[in-house]
Amino acid sequence: MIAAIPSATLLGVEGRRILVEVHVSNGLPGFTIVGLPDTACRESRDRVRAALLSSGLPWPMRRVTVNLAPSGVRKAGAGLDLPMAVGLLVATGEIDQSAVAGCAFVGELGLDGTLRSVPGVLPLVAAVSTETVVVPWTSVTEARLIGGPAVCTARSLRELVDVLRGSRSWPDPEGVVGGSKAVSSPPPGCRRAPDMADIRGQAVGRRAIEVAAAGGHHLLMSGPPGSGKTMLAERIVGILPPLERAAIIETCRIHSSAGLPLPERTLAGEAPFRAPHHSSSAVALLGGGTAYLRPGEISLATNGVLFLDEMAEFPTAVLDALRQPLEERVVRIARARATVTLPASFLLVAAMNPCPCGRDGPHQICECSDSQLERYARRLSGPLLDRFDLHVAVQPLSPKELFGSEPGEPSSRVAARVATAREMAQARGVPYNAAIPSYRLEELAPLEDKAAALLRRRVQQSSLSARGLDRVRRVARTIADLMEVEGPVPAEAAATALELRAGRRALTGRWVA
Amino acid sequence: MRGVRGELGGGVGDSLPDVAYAVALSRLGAMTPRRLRLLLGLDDARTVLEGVVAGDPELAERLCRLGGAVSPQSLEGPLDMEENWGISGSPECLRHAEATARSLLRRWQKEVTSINVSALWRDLGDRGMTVVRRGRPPYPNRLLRAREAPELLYVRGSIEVAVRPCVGIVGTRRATHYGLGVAGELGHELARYGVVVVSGLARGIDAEALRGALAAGATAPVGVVGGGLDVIDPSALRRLFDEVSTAGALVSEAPPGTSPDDSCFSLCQRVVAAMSQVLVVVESSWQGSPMHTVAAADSCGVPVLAVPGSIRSPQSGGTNAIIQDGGAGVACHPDDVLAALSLICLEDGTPLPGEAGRRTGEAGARTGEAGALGMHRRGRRVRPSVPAICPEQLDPAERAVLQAVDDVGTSTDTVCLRTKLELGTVALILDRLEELGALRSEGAAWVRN
Repeated sequence: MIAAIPSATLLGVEGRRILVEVHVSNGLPGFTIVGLPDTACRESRDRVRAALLSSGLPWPMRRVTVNLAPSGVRKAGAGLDLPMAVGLLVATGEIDQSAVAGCAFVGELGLDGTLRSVPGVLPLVAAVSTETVVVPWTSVTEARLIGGPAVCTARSLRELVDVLRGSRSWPDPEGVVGGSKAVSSPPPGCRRAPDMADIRGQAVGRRAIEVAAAGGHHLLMSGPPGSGKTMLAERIVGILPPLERAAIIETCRIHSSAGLPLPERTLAGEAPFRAPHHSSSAVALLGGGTAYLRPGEISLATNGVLFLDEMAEFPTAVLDALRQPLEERVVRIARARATVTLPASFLLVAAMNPCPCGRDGPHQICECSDSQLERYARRLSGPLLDRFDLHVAVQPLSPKELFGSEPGEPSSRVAARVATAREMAQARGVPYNAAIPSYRLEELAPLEDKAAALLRRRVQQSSLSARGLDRVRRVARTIADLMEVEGPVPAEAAATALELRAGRRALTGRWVA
Repeated sequence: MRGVRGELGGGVGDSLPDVAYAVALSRLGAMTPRRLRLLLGLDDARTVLEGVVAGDPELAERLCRLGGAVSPQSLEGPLDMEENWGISGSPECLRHAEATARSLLRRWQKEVTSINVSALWRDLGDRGMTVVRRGRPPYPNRLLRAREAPELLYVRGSIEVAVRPCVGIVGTRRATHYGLGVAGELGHELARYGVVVVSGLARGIDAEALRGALAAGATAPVGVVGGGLDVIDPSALRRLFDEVSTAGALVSEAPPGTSPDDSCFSLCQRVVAAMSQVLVVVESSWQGSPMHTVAAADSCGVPVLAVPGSIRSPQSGGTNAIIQDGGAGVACHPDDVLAALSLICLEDGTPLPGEAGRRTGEAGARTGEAGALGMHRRGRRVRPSVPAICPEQLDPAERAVLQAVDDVGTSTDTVCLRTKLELGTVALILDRLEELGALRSEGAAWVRN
């Protein structure tokens, strides 16, 4: 007899629908799995056997063939244990075919029959086409997030078989809130992003992160250690507008397929914040790996912020590999068997020291030799620096400023302005101002006469290139939006946009005698 | 010594100048400056070289007996040892010295066969360099004051400018905007008054002083380098190297191809100190390298002036210190330097600044006063021509912003904090003030013009 159980397997961050066919016939006893299973999949045989026997169910002394259709696609992971076990039970007649009709199964089996969670439950559940899906106990929250198929669960194989035979009903996990409700009411006690009121002084730095959040402009901060760059970066997610439901699902899906627990703050609508260490490899940052094609940091940061602290310490090859995802907003990973496209739409925030010794400001002398400085300058390629629309120099506060100045604006006020600015951008037809294409700048971001004269003078002085001019105009448009100016961009916004790029001059000027 | 003609490498003729042979001698292995001087002191270079080729035994004896080549240390010694021309040492030292001399000569005899004198000389000519020998014109006489004055100077350009009054300007490589501004102005003004600016070619103060002198377009500066003249380090200064060698002179005591390292640097500083009649230190930290130049100047008897700086600035720590302990006079204005220079020139009998170069009538009269009476006029600050900003032209906010910017370098953040204005307003005003010429931007900071 043949049983066919729907299930799914993971490919990158997407799930893929598959069918587990189990065929039982006479012949020498054996259990064969076909359909390109990977190692974990092949080991399913032993797990299923032990689980069945531990649950008091018979193991057939017949020839069993399991086909994972479609057979051309590589199946990865242990999530097919459960459909194989259920298929076997149906094929041997232990469970009725009608009991599992319209039901998909996903889960790993322990040797004692417990149902275990697998990474990527969210995309897997999103991929199945049946009305019901059975997942392990601990994956219920994730599975119900999609709001697609009805989610049922069991704690062990024995329990599941009892339900399917009709002797008991589906257990309902307590305290698990289903579907859309999980999205808006996060578990109590989850931390929110730090508040901008903690930052004193730093007018330029605070404005820079506001503009970055409002327009989606990539930001580079340079300054000596202890000047507050990390503090500023951590507060950006607190002023970004709350994520839409689709974005939350996407972020959770990516986290799920990376095997990470669902980020609580994301469920509450806060954008993800990833800060990889500079010893991360290119694969860790971009995604990849041989067996799993796991999403990297840039995919995990999608819809949120990727913070590269000590950017100059990252290997040059890794930084250069970032350029294409920054342009295209996706990262394409090609392997021999498959090419996967992972989302990579994030706001890049980077911090770096102006020179290797890090001491370059008032009251401090830079101790670096000429060759050290030249080598440092060469680590950051021109094209990479060019991707940053905003480039500010952050200086540490003097003791007088630290204790004398008032606390800065709280995040709530800044976030309100940012939200308004984003709405204005969306009314123009772009998701955010950084995405305005060059040929539409004149149409969507016209300049007032004074502003145009100001920028023209800079171009004539050769302190601004044509490409730089385009970037300044986009930033100026965002600043004007933050000022709630609907019409042409005023001169004040253009001047501020130039100020927010001033760090670039410091970086390149320092290494010239 | 009998000369053996025609045995020197490369088919030598009579057409090469004597200094070419000196250059060849200097390329021998284990040839320290002291040994070179001892050799060249024996006879003219060509004869000495031929003697080395022939393996003349008299040469070794003469080398030893040349009074001073006795203690083994004097043949091996480091460069900064005192000259010691008297015979000293026990008979064992004498024998040791003789043995060292003989083994050196044997070594040199082997090596000299691979040296092609005319090719070497031609190569120098191709690179645009000439070589000047100590004591022979156009070697600057003032250089002889230096301890272990260089035996051979490689020159690009014309070193004859050094007969004019010379002022050395040195300072730290990690200068502030203040120091760079002062160095540039000083170089500019001194050059305008016909003074030759001498400096090392390090980035920072030295380079800025030379740029100022070049910009005046009146008197050519002299740059002193530690490594070979064809090795440009840091590479960002390439244009400056070329301009100085075209307009004035670039000198070095290291042969071409030597890459500069720290020991070369201290050697070239003593050249800067010795060539100057007055040394001006613009900015230096406590332990900075300009302090070594000051020490070299002291040992040559060259007066030192220092430019004071902010007591909070580490880059002025050294300069303020030498003013405080009396090691240096104070230079607050180019006139101070000119006055000190004029006194020295009167003593030396060299032409006074202002007399020896092109200048306007007004400048001549000014320096005439300064030179003759040793007094100087103060008051007028020398600045590149910029229209003065009347404060009445500006509105209160603009005035406040202008006040908030100092001439060391102020960040926009600090301006916002001081004026308590919004960033947008401040940005616009800064841009307008820059347009009017009252400010300029240095990196991410703003500086008063």
